[in-house]
Amino acid sequence: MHDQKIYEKIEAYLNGNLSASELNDFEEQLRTDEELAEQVVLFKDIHFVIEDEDTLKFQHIVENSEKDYFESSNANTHSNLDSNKIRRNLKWFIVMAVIVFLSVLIWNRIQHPAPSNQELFALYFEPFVINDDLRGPTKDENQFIKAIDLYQEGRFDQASAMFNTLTEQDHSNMIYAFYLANSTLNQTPRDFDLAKKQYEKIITEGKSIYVSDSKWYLSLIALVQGNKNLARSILLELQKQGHHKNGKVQNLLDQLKE
Amino acid sequence: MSTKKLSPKEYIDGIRKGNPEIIKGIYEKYHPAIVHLVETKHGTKDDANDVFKEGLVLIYQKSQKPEFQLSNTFLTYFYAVCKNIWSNKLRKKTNQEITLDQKTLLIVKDDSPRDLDKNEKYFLYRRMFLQLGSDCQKVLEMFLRKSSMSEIMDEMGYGSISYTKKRKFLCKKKLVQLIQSHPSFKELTTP
Repeated sequence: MHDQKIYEKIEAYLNGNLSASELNDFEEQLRTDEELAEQVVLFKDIHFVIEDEDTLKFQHIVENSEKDYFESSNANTHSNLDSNKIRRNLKWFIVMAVIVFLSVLIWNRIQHPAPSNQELFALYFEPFVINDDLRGPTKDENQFIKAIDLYQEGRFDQASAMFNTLTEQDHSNMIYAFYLANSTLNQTPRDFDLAKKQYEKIITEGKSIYVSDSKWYLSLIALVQGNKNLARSILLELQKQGHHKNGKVQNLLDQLKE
Repeated sequence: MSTKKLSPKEYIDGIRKGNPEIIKGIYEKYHPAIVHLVETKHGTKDDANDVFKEGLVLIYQKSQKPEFQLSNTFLTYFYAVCKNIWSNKLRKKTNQEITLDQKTLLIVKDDSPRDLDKNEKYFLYRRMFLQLGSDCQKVLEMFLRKSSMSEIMDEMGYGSISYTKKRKFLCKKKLVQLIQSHPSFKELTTP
């Protein structure tokens, strides 16, 4: 039978539009023709989903939201790429800006004393931003996700308490340790000693993707705790290992020389 | 979406009504968490994207029932739903029994593997339908929502009933081809 005829026959069968004799013949055919039987099931399902107008509309909204979400993520990436291009094109402008900046810096050095360790900490400390690369084995995902959620919402006190519990449950998990340290560094008042302990643990273990970030934050803690030499040696180590933190390592090293 | 923290009820109401702003907000807030969940359990980002959408559709359908109530935070609930969906897919992929933790089991106790399979299959069919051109979507929708061939012909501006029937057939054939050529089709329709 021609395809179109088969389709129409199946539709008539599903819609109850076959005569008694046609129905008998068709059901007889269904018992022997496996392929036809499968096609009837498929059509039945297709009819079901198209007839369910509300869910179809909802899924359409979800598909569009996904598209918007990825487009806006890509737009951010492109905007970063564009910024890079602009930066390259403005090479000479930057050279001039650096000259002006250095002149101002020299003038300031003459006029004002070097910034204190506390000021340097405030100048260089930024909360660690979570991105899509967050990975790692976690034993209690529900708790972990809740804690991450709190961290992202800036509720660092509560995030810190939850990461503390998670760390106690699983000492070997460096992701928990890293976020516990980050949360305590952002809460009020900051708990430098607890953060330091966690960063040191991550650095000693040495396998986590957060080792260099831990070193960076550890150097800032050393600075704020008045241990300039330790801060400098950690920064030099970071520099040697090629972790520049967008030039911040060098800048801070320069300021520590002063 | 505003940065205001939403209550579980506000999330569910937003899903129930298909509010695009709420859906967008759920993407922004929870998509990374679901990617993390799937990627740490042998899945890819694409798997995670499907799980995320299937989870939303499943919650939408549940939210239509008057007795539906949320006794957890939205994140806890959504995470458990997605975890169950992914475990079910993984179970089929690896042919191994996957055990869920007690907390997740308690939240998703009403969703049997059979329900999840059905949800996954219908999700795929809807997705393929949405890939058809808008004319095809409209013809099939009108036909299956019991419009007559002459009504479809008038609405679509086709020249004759036989041409309308032909168009309806071609649209449906296209949809069947899209569904049957999808890599998941066989797995989803094998009992």
